[in-house]
Amino acid sequence: MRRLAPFFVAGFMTLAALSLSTPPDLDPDPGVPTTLAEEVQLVSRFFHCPWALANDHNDSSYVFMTGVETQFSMTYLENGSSDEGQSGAALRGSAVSIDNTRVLGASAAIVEFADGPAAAAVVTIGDDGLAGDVCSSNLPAVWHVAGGSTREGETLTLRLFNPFADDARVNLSAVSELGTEANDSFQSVSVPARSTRTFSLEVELPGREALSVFVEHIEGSVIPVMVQSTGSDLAMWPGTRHSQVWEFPLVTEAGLETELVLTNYSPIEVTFSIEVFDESATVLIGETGTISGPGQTRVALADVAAETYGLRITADGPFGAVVVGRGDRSVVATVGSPTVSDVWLVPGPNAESRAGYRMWFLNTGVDPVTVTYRKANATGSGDVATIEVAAGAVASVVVTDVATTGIEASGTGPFSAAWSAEFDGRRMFSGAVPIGE
Amino acid sequence: MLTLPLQNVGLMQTSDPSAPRRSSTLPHIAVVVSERRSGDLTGVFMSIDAQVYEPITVFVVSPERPKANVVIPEARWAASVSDVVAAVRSEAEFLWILDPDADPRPDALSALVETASRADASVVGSKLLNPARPEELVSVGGATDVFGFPYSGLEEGEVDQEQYDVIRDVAYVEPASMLVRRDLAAGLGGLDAKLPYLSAGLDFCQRARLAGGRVVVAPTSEVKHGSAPEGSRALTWREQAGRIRSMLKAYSVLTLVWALPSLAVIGLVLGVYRTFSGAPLALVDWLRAWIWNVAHLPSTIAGRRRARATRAAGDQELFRYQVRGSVELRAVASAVGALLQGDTDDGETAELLDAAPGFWQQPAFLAALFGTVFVAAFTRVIWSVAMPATGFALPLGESAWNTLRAFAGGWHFGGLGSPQPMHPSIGASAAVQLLFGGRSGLAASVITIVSVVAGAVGMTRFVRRLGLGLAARYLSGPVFVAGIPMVAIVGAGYWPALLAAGGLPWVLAMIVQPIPVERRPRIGRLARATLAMAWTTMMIPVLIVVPLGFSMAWSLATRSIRPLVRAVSVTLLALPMLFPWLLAETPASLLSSGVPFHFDPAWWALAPVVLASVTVVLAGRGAPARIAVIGSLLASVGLLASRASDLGAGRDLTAAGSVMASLGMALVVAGAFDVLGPLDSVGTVRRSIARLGIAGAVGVVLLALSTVPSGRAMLPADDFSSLVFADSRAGTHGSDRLLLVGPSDRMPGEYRRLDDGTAYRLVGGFPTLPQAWLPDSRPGDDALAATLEGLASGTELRPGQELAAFGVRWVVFTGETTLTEVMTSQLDLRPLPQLVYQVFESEVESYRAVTDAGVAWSWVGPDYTGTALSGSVRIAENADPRWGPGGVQTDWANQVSTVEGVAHFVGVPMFRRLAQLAGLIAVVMLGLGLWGRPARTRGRV
Repeated sequence: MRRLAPFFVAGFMTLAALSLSTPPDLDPDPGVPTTLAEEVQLVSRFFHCPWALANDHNDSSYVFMTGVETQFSMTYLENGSSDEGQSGAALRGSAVSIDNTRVLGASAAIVEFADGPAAAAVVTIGDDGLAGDVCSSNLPAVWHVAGGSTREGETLTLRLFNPFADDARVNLSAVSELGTEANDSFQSVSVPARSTRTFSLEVELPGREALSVFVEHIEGSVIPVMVQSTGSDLAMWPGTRHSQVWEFPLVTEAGLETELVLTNYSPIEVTFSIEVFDESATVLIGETGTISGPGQTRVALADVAAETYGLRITADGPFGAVVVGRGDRSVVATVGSPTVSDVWLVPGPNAESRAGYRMWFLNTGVDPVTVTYRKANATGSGDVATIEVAAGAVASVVVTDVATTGIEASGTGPFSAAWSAEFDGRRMFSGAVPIGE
Repeated sequence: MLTLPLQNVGLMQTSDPSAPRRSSTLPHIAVVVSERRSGDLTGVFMSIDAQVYEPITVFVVSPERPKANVVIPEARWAASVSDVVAAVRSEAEFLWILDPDADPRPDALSALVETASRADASVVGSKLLNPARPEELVSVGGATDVFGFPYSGLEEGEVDQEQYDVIRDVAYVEPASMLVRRDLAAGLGGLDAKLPYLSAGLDFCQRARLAGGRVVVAPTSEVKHGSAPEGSRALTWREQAGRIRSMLKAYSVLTLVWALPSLAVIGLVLGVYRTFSGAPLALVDWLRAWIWNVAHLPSTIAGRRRARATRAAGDQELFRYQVRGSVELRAVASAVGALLQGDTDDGETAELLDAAPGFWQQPAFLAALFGTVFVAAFTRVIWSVAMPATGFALPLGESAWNTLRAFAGGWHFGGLGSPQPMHPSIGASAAVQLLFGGRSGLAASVITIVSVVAGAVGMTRFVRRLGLGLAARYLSGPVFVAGIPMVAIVGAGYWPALLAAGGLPWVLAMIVQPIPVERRPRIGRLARATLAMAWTTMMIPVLIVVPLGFSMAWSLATRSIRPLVRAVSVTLLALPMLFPWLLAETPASLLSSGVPFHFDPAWWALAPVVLASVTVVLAGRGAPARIAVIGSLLASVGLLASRASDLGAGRDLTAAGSVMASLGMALVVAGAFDVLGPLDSVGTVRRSIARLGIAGAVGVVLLALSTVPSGRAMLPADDFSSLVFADSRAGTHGSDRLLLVGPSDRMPGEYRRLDDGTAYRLVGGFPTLPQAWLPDSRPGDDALAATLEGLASGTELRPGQELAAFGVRWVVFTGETTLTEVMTSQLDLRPLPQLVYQVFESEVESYRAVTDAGVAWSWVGPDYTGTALSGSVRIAENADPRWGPGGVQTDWANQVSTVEGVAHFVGVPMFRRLAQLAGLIAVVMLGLGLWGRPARTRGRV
């Protein structure tokens, strides 16, 4: 009996021990998200500029704008190596223009700011044309690079810029008016670190009226850009992520025939609706339609409305959107804005003194918005002006001023912004960078 | 045994009508003094002259003619025994071969002759006595083992009490005094001049027996010669070489095919053993013996041919007078067995020493053999390859001394550093590493293997002290070291648990063992137990309560306060070893800090021990049942502690619980294996129930043995050896830091977590044990966490730049995390290809310490060193005003003057003193432990 008592104690403790539940994980590790959340361009400090052209016949300028006083630096990245470009200080609200010193043809660079918000853009002007757009800062899982053309006599170059320290691998899939384009060379495309890989689409897929490319990341990241050359003009536009809403403050100008190219990467058909906003605040319901996936839908905008107007396209699923246009000597393209903001940084207007510039503002809200725009220069100061944008209206203003290289626009309500330039019959459309809420 | 006629050995006829005879009936004797080295022969000549049986002539065999001797002026010189034989022809029937140092009694020769005649022997040897103490026996002939090692059965200093006074056939006699038939000597060519003393006699006797001769010892023929026991005389390299040559000459090829390789292996094993037990040149001697034989192979072959010519019997004739196995191995095994048996078991040890041939059948020998095989297989990856680097099983620091400096109130190596004391296991392991000349890999492997051995052997001792039998003792060891609770915790990478197991049973054995009456062994035992206790608690501090708890139970069971007093003494003496670390801990942190383990055995793994426990307690009786109850108590407490993570238990408490549970299970198993002993007079049912307990215990043992195949002593497979790239890619200033990010079970030691739960930690160069534990977070650690949170947001494209401030040159992903994706889109961390883990190397200069001029300083833990200049160096360690010289805080780091060329942490004086005190106590205890060891083991060190 004497030994049974402690044995029973032992048995009781054993049962008690075994009754203690086994925790599912004593120190659980978090799950790993399958995709990185896409960042809205609010406080981004890094901008990827996949294309600028500088040679004997063309000049390029990089234009930086910051919302705070900060330092900036440029790095050119080619063939696996990085070369330090210019660096310096930027005052709050200033716009700094730096000439592209790499007179070697096409080049790619990244711009870094010590603090944000900031924005960067590229403007190229010369014998080959007038082109440029804002540099992007986000890295979606799938890029939509839409609206190109490989008509006879034209070149269409897809540039995949990998500024990062690790090699990237992507899948390309192209759609045109003929449907999905099959091409073995588009599968598992590797883009070495700190280099750019180019595809001459007029060689790969000649004779296409409308050609859009989806760039899907497998490993690493790239920043795609499309460069269209008609022989008389150039157009450059970046790839975009997808969104269920796109706003285009700038759709067309006199002498241009433009069309809207909508792209859908998913296999699920997307139904879209186009709202048209003109200067008179008349909301015109434009077309509705579907975008089969994966594929593209083209909407000729001449059929939608005339003269000055802006667009808002909404859909029941995510899609990409680009406006492309052609004139006698010009070709233009611009991506829309997936968001509205109270404040926009618009680097680029007046960066090239030979051109004329116009700002475009779209207010798709129900209240009028007073937009105050300040012409910015390297010292941070500049003239300030305002423009009233009625509810549901688009407004534009000429901002040509040799003393400025950018515009800071803030409104009493959310709006979207864009700008255009014209030089010797060539035109360019460009977006802007939202930094407000 | 046949005595072959003379013509069979190819000898001349004995009768020669022309030869003179001294007597018609008594044989004529020619004395042959073999002068092996130049010396005075006066003594031996005087002995010869005093013989009552007068020889007809005396020869001196030596390479050179000696000077004329006044005692026996007519002594003749010969170059060899063969020359003597040729010279005497048929004048003498026998040759009396005598060693120059021999001192035969006057009747020695007559006794030899009489024995030879009576026994019809071809070779007769004398009884050898110690010249200094003539009552002591030196040799009475004897047997050998198959390798020719002599075995006489004499004890050292054995007194001649006529206990061997019978004419016996023996395998050999010593050539100090040997009567040989002349015709036999002629056929065999005498003693082999190339062989030393003992081997020469062995060789001659073997050849004589193979030629059909009979070798006997004449106990009535007494000769004073030699002093040391033949066992020790046979250990010289020349005697080893001689035995090999004898084998080569005597044995058939078939015997040599297995005997020679066996002898080589045994010799190597013995050489290793003797090297570590007082004969540092033992391996050299072994090698010399074999090389000598290779060098003398031609003469050996010639001697073999000559022996074959006179061969009349096979190897079986030699085997008849050989003991089985190896005499030398038997002696070593008896020494090992004595260790297993303990230092107060003189009786059992004597039994072992007196064991008859076939000693390998002794349990202690078998246990030692199987134990050796078990440990060798259990740890084979560790000793044949290397220790795995995983979890807390990490290499020791590069410099043991520097680790000890840091341990003694210096700078904590973990993360970005801290003045907080290091875990006591770091100090303990560094101290041992110091004994190995600072060799980290060797020390870690030896510590691990010795802990396994010590744990098993200690358990054997402990169970023996509890009064249980052989099976209980020897089988409880593997169960303790490799039982399922130990598998769980060591398998999780917690190396200190395995090391702690090496000391704990020794402490418990001391608690239950009565203290020696004499002061010296009593102090020695207390000191050794203190060292064992200190080792155990420095590995898992919470285990300090186990001996106390056990002693309370044992005191109650035995109704004696002494076990408790012993436990308290040892605990109090060992407690200072936990300082200074213990000062930084609170009772709550001791019990609840660290990520806990959770022992979750499968039901089928627990069932055997439950079966054993229940059946033994219910059906058993006496000590086995009592031990099983104690074991059950220990196991249940341990099980509860090891599963108390939900109740707030931390790493140490749950680890200690696992060790306790394993100890308890081992005691249950021990009780089960001994349960039948006291049940002789009980009914069948009860015995049947008890047998069920044995079956359960066998199941537990088999489960323990199932851990052997991995070969890593239950440690997980290596995780971090691939990080050696940090050393190979290090700059001239040494290795910078690695940031490891990944699943928590693939982190070296402790880790921290980001807000989203991602585990990470910093290591300086290759992760080492001194870095395994992380101190409490300080501003630098918080800054790193904030930086990593920023990187995880994906908005920072220059993580290398951000991490450079922390001295991070490499980012290693041991698995997928939220940060992994970020690294694919960044600008200044270049991926390193073809490594096990995803590794990114910063392209930004990322020095742990950098001067104003951008020059890196080297981390030579616990200091930084560089060129002495004016200026300052930024040290990327948590800010502390004790960094100097002239240290100031810059953000979270330190800025120190470069004037002295070294940046050092002056230390915490109290911690240093406490660590020094602990070291002093350890040294004192070690000294007392050696001073107070049992008498039988003294003198061997």
